[in-house]
Amino acid sequence: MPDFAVVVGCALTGILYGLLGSFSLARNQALLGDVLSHAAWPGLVLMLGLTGSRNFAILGIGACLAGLAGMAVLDLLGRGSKRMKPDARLALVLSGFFAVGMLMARPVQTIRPGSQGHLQAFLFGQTAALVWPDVAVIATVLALSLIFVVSRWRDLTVLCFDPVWRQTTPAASMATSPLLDTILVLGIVAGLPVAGVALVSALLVCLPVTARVLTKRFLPGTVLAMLLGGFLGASAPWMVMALESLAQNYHGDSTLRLPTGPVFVLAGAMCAGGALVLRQLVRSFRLKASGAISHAAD
Amino acid sequence: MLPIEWEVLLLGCLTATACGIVGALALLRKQALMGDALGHSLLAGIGAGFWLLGSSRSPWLFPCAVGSGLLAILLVEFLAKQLGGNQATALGLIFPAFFSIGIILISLAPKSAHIDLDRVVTGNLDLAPLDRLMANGHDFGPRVAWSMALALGFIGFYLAAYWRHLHWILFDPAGAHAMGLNPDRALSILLLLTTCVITLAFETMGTVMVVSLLVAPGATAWLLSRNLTNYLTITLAVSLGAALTGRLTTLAIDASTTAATSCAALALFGTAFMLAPHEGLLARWRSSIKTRERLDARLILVHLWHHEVRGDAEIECLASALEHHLNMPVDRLTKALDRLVRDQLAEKNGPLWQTTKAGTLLGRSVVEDDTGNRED
Repeated sequence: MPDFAVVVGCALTGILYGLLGSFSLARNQALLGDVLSHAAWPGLVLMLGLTGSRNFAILGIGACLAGLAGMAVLDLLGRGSKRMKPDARLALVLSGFFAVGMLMARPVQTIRPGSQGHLQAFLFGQTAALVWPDVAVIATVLALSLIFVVSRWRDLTVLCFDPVWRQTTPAASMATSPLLDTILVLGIVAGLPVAGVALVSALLVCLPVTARVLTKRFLPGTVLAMLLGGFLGASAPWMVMALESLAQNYHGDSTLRLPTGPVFVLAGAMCAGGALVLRQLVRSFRLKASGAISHAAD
Repeated sequence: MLPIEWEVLLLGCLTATACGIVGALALLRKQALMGDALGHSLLAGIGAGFWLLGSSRSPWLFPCAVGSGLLAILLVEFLAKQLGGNQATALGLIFPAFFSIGIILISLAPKSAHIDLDRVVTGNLDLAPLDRLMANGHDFGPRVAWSMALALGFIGFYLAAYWRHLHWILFDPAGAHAMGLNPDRALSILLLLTTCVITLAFETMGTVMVVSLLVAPGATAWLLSRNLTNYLTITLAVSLGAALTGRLTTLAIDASTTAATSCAALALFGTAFMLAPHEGLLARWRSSIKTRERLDARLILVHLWHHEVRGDAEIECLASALEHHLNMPVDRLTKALDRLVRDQLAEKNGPLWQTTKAGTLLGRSVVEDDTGNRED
């Protein structure tokens, strides 16, 4: 049986990602999350080296600062030469920040012996280590994002779907867009212990894509993505256990550890694929039905 | 045989140049993130290959990895069509899925299999020379160095074969098609080469940091050059520079050579981004200031000329009143007036500013011709 804290933590993370992902998908920023999660990595490593703390709340501060720095560098690159294409900018920030983190990793491990496993857990997510204080961090970020989204729902939807028109209206608040970006960074960092640097952002894509395939409307789609995230998150620890015991029965090595991130992501991606297939089936069925009707009318 | 420190450097140089060139070509095709996607998705092939072949050292793992990379790209193309042409979303959906499959399969392998998940993702250039190519009891050096050299040879052959038409194929595939070339075949071969290089490089560079070796040299060259020959030459130089700097760094401090090489490539890019002669941040900032100064001078000139024509120059062209009329800070105004005097377009006549003969002509041409901000 997985720990109750683990299940709650994973479920909350899933809900959080369903919410934030809906916005980043609607803004066509599917890859921004990937960049930000990798950008958070050096902050995590540096904070571990400086404080030696294993407390996620403390490490998370470093990760958030690094994520915001990544956002700032992305912005700076955008202000430079217009010959730089956006995808090149994303790729440079993503790999650059991660490389800086990796450069610091070995010196940090020398200063703080035994921290290697702890850092590795953040690479792919290791929910077995999730404790109640970590869950509290995730819950706080979720509450913050919910308050923010509910209080500015109208402005946010306009920001997502018609940013050009929004700029012409005096009611638009200057703070909404940077606040949404900040909340995105906070959310990504909060999910690191569950899904890990490498895969956190995939959840920002697969949950809302599933919802968008199933419904065209934004509010129901967002709620659907949150529900799906919560459900998949709650079941992810069980899936991990099942796969682990399956492999152990197969080759009898009981020391293996399966990270949670990939299992969660794969389940989400399968949902998205399933939804796409379902839509295709429904469409072809409708086409056939309408064809039969028009044929009968002739 | 070379000492191991030199072998690490050699391996770094080979990897950096191969990655740099294929990455630079992908960058021209606006596919900078394709390398990231490929690097992640080939892990599925390695995981599946390991379970099918039962060994982590089988040579058949390589085609498995390349195959899964190509399969992922085909799926991305297909899914992008399904999602209404949204390629970023398709990328964000497919490659994490492949990556997850790979990690799950590798994590579930028994510990005796010697697949180290950490090394797969972060790479290890320092340990790569330990894998030797042995034949007839002779030691021929690191295995990866040979395969990477072979890949470099293929890249060189590809460039030589397509060099004459490379512009058309890269920048205008439709035009190349009209010329009777076969751009699809050329680009497919390039994609295959790219996948092979990334597969070879990921053991030394890891799935994430290989991206900076793919993108940074090309992006640096893009800021510094305006033709294909220079572009590829600078790419080559930056790649080699990154490999050298990275190795030198890790001789000084105890850190991962992979990360140091990757950081060095990005540091070189950062330098070019700041200091490049035309495209750099500094040069652009300077040229924007120059433009503003020129426009300020032009504005004052037109103001003077206009009021001379209307005949209210005594009120409008007073030296003490210009600041108020044009609503311009004093230092900018002084600079612009100095510029006008230097160019002999305007002069101070008692309390008034007046246009010279050349200034009158220019002022009129600016107002009468809409394209007023032409060079003098």
